[in-house]
Order: sequence, then structure tokens, then C-alpha cells
Amino acid sequence: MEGVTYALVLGVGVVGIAASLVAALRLLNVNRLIGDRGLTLEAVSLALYAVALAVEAASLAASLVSGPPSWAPGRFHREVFMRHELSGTPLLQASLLAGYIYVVAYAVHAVSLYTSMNPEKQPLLPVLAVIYTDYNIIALMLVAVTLYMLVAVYKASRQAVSYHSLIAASHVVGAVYAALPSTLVILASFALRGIAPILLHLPGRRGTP
Amino acid sequence: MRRRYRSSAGIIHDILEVLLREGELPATRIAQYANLPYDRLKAMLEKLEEEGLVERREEEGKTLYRVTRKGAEAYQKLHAVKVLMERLGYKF
Repeated sequence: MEGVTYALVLGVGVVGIAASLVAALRLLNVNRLIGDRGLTLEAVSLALYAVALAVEAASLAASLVSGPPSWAPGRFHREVFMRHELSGTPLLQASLLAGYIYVVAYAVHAVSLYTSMNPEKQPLLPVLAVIYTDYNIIALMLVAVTLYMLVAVYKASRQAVSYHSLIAASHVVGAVYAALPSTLVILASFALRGIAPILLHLPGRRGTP
Repeated sequence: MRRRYRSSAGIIHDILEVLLREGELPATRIAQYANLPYDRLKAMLEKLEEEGLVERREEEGKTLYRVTRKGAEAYQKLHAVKVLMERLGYKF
């Protein structure tokens, strides 16, 4: 039964890979005719997405050939699973590897949206500026989530909040670059990131709330 | 007023569509139909001409633009991609 489940999931994944690749090829085909870099970037994003799916699918296929994955539901007691299986499962490792590729694919997708949706009256921003802004927005989201966890869940120290707030501020400044493309913005963003670890060494009361 | 966002692929789609529907047109009329500022349209028409998707001819002192065969083929493919791009979050 588990084998059937994995075969079905693999089938869905393979169809997804094909759909992504076909979409990417269609975009590239049109891009050859009209030369829109947004289409190129979107095609790259879809191709990366297909690669990430393929990494997961390959691992799933290998699992099918060699029997159901060792972490299959019901096979182990949860404690055993946590102790012995979690770190070594090939499928989990493949999904983690694919995760990085997915993140890059989403980032390229966001960049593509930026480059393709400029106001008609404004000239297109240089693609590097757009990528820089995009990277800062993604980094800001990650730091913001961490900051939220620190404040709402872990009730972290004021220093910890300040440290992460400075890093978040550095990425806010970086994200402004698309609207204010000045070297000063990049310098300010870098300076804030440089100041943040200095806070780790400032004297302070232990356990300050 | 809310700003309208449109990808350059979308703009090219609209220009080709107008020309295929109306036949030969001067740039001012294309700008009107495609809802584009004249200077931006001129830049796009130059690009499309370089790519061989549109061509122009002079008639009684007026410059008229029309879609080439390559442009018509490009429009068909672009129109097919439109649905895909809209599903990916793009505005056409």
C-alpha cells in the first residue's frame, strides 16, 4: 500500500516537472521573438522549480526501487524515528537540497515580476538593482520572522531584539535601493549589518528583559 | 489615479493585436488603441521593427505600421503565453 502511495506521489511529481519544463520552454520560445527579459527570468525560475522537483522525485524513485522509505508512517516508533532515522533519510536530505533550489526559484520569480511590472512611464531598472532589492526583501522577511519568534515566543533579551532589529533595518535600507538607487544606500545597509554584531559585545546586565 | 502596470511582453501583445485587428495604422492611432504614451510607443515600435515583427511604409507623408508574417506568428505564441503569464501573477 505504501508503495502505491509513493508511486502516485512520484507520478504527480513527474507530471509537475513536465508541466514546469513545458511552461519554461514556451516562455523561452516567445522570448526569442520579442526579447522580454521578464520572460527569460520566469523561464529560469520555472526550470529551477523543475530541477528542485526532479531532485525530490529522483530520491522518491530510488526509495521505491529499494523499498518504502525507512521513515514510512507506522514503521517505527516516533522516538526511534527521531533518534536514528531523521538525519540519514535520503528523501529528507533530497528535500532539504531541493529546498534551496526552490528558494532560488522563488527569488528569481520575484525578480522577474519586478522587472516585468514597471510603470509604463518609467524606464526599466537595471536588473542588478532589482535583484539587490529582491534579495533584501527576502532577507528582511526571514529576519522579520526570526524577530517575531524572538519577541512573541522566546521572549528574548533586549540585546537580541536590538541585534536582529539592526539586521532587519539594514535590509529595509537595502530594499529602498530600487526607489533610491544611490551608492549611499548600499553603504548604509552594509554599515548597519556591520554594527549589529558589535552589539553582541556591548556590556549589559545579564538577563536584561 | 491607480497606476497601471503592464509587462513589456503585454505591451507588445497589445500593439500587435491592435495592428492585426485594424490593419495599417499611424503611430498616434496605435498609441491611442494600445493605451500607451507616444514616446514609449515609438521606442517599442523601433524595437519591434528591429526584430522584424512590424514594418512601416510612407503614404502621403504619413508613416503607417503593419504586422509582418513573423509578427503575426509571434502574436499567436504571445497570446498563448498570456494565460500562462497571468496565472503566474503577471499583468498583460
